[in-house]
Amino acid sequence: MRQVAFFAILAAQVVIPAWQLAFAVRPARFGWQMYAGSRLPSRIVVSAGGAEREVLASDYLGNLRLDLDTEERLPPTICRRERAVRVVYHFPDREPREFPCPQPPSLP
Amino acid sequence: MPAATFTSVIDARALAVTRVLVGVASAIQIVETRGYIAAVLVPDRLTLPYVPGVGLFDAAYLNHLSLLTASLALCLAIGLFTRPAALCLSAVEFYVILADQQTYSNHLLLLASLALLLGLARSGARYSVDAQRGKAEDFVPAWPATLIKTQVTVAYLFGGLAKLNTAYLSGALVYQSIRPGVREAILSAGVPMTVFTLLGFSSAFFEIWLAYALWQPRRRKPAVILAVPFHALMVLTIMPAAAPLAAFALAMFSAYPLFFARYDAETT
Repeated sequence: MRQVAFFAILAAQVVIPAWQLAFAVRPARFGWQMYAGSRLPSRIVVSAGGAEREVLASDYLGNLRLDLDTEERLPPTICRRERAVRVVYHFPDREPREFPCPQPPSLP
Repeated sequence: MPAATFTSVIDARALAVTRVLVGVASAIQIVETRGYIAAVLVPDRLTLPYVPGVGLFDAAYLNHLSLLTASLALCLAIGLFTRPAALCLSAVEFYVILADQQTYSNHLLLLASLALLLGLARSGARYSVDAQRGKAEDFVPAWPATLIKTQVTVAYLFGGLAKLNTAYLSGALVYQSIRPGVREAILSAGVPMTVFTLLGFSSAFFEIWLAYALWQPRRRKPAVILAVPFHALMVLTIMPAAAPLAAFALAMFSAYPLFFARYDAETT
């Protein structure tokens, strides 16, 4: 029994961070990747009402961790609250990423 | 893995030191954890649960969680009901880690993992209330102690390997991570910007070297002698705050006595 527990824990200790190092976007959680990068955008710009303006991620998220994956949940929330047509993430070291906002169907 | 891993025993005093340090570090870590949870629970803030619908508790329970964590950390540190205290502390810390992406913390993950391993070990066999109550032992099974050593080794190794990227090695991330006041003091003293590149290179490779050196009898002492100021420097200079970095340093230090402890070839 103790052998099973030992090897199961040892495998988890090694395999999870190895997997995160090899396959996950850096910095990844559960991989001991402290201070190894940032997944957060440096600026978030929204297009709303025919104009562009910057919004702060800190207005939406309580704890801006560098390893946060915000791309799935944050843009739809910004779209809704800012009544935006588009959200653009700007990064210091890569190309911007654009998130089109779903628009309400227009009346016939 | 030699069969002796499962039959050998380790000096219970070393494991007791590990237990006390993890208990103290868990108590210090409450400061950061409370801040994280309180910030996430502010109304209108977005939560990021791993599983939709399974997330953090109501804000009204934050004090209860802090009190529970503090009580369990104290029990672990003094060795009162050591095994259940360690396992419950680990469970509470894993709950916080897994409740929301924003409440994750590498420091807390390390403490939760170490508390779990202390719960599997007979870590209350010395320097504890439990030992005073007649459960004292001089030697205890070594395999959980081996896992504590591998856990800390893995944290150093992957911490270093993950830093082997252009942004970190260039010094840009080091520059951003250093507290503004310290950064300004360095630059106003006329120190060139290349110092941040040097810090990036040296810290990444030092962490990898530590993972190796702790397992080498001849390099173990120099490794610890260098690791203490390394962690102290982080506590004093790196953002966001000293308390969680101090907790992390204590958690890492907690495994060091196990590398120097006396092992015996078994018993039954």
